[in-house]
Amino acid sequence: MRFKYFSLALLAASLMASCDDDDNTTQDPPKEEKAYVQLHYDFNYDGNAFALNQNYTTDSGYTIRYTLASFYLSKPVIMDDADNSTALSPEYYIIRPDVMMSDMGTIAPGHAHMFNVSIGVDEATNTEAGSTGMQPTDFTDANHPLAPQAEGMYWSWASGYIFVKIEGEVDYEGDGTFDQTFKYHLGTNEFRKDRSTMIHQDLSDGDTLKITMAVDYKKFLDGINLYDEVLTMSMGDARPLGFKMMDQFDAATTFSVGGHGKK
Amino acid sequence: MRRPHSQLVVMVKSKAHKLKFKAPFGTLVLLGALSLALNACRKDEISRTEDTAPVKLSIEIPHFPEMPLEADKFLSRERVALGKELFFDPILSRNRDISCATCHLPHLAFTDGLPVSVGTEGRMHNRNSPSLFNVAWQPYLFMDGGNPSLESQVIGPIEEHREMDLPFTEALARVGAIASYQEKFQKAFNQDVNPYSLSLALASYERALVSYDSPFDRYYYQGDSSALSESAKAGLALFISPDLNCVACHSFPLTTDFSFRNNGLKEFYLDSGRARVTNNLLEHEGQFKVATLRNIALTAPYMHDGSLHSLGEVVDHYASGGSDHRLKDSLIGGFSLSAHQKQNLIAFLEALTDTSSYKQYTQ
Repeated sequence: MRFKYFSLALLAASLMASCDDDDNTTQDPPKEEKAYVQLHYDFNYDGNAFALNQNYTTDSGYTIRYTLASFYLSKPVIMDDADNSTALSPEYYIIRPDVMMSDMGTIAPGHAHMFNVSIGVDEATNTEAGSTGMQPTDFTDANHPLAPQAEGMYWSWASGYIFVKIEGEVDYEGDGTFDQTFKYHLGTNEFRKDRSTMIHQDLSDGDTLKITMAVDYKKFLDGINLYDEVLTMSMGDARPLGFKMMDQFDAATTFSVGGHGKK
Repeated sequence: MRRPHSQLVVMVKSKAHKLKFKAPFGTLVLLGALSLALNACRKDEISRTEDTAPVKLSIEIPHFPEMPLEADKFLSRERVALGKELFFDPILSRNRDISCATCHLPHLAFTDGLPVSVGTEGRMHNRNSPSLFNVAWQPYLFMDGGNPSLESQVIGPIEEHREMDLPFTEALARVGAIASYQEKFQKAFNQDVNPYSLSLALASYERALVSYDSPFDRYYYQGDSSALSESAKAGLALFISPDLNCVACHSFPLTTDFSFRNNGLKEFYLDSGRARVTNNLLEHEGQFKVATLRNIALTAPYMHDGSLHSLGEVVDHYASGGSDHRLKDSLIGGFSLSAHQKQNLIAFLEALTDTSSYKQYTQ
């Protein structure tokens, strides 16, 4: 008899404990602490606001206007003091002059030592002849940055992404008629620019790390002969000019800590 | 009884010389049973799956290598039919004035008969339109091998200024705006129109363009001694002879080894060929992918720039040994042929014509 009561008591306790367990599962998990990372953009022409199809004056007195200025950023990473890296997400960004800021996900609070990002598409992903990376037609999501883009950021005939695509026009005499186009389509793996920026910031839960990427489109054309150095697809005889213009773009680009770019 | 195949098989029978369709439905039944077990109360979905699941289609040609194909890119009747519709649809060109078929005409073995192709608004290309037959076996696309897949290749002619000149994103929007296309994409891919499905539809049609049943095939692989004329047989002997050694590059059965070679066509190359892709003029200038000779009698004019107008001119070129370009291939050394031998060689080249494929794709 005593055993019978004991069994009933045990059963009742079990049922109650089950209810307790259910209640426990409804409790919120511990809140994950995180800091946010944002890359802001400051596109300018010698410090003035930059936009496509707007006239600017070069040091040579030419009137120019940009009709296209798009580029890829890939694989952003935050490093801590111990060289541990946190890959940011998403991994790929197509940046145009009207983009003001990219959310780059979150990292754990702590000391952020360095920010790394590539101008261009990383080598493993950028399919060049004979390799096995990604191609725009691999994507079912048409909005993915590496899917086909309206301005054509992929060379089907050379099977690689165009890292930087800049086009525009030049009016030599300032008479309102554009006399010459310039087209710089820069890409292939040798053209990628890996950039590192010192951060040195301690981040707490909920903080936002703001970094600004500035591109001065006047500096991009500094020293360029806008009669002769106006066309490159980064291939063949025009490849040296391609390298030169990629270096120009790299030199025109600065990264700094803080969100003082366009908002 | 166990049915081993889950797909529609297009078996090319060596002796019957015809495409034969076989449709085992065992796996569809199995899939249906599995769906029933997993979703016993969702009969409406089971019915939809059975109605819309594309039936796999494989193309097996006994004397060809196995067609290279990634699993998710399997062929089906729905995919090939959809790709064909897109291939002939001018919606993919900026001004809706040309289609893929403008430069790849079925009755010319999917070439256009011009020295160099003419794109939208009459814009001149700088290269001769290549045949699309057996393109499924090409390890890389374009004459310079600049692209590794039929799918991403699709972007090239659609976006190229001298061809269709339409941003691929606009192509997606145009096709996606047509309800009947959306319905066909759902049936073929169970997906909306997107970069993957649009390119795969066109690639699926192109993969189905196979040519395998020429008189040469019937003679050489199927033992039909009457398939070749005596003249063509003599031409074949010349083709594979050590003196001419055409077969060194135009290897059987695909009649190309896909290598890149400078055949001495020019002293100076306006089109740098393979070097355009490798940026290595020193070693690759003027090299082009060895072209297939299947249906060559239908694909004049010849060479990357269409500068040779007849098979006779082609034979004369190789007989002469070509130019003195520093990168001319060592196999291009010249040879001498009598007029009769030249006729025989041309007779053999003409015997590479597969008119059954011609009829099939012009229907």
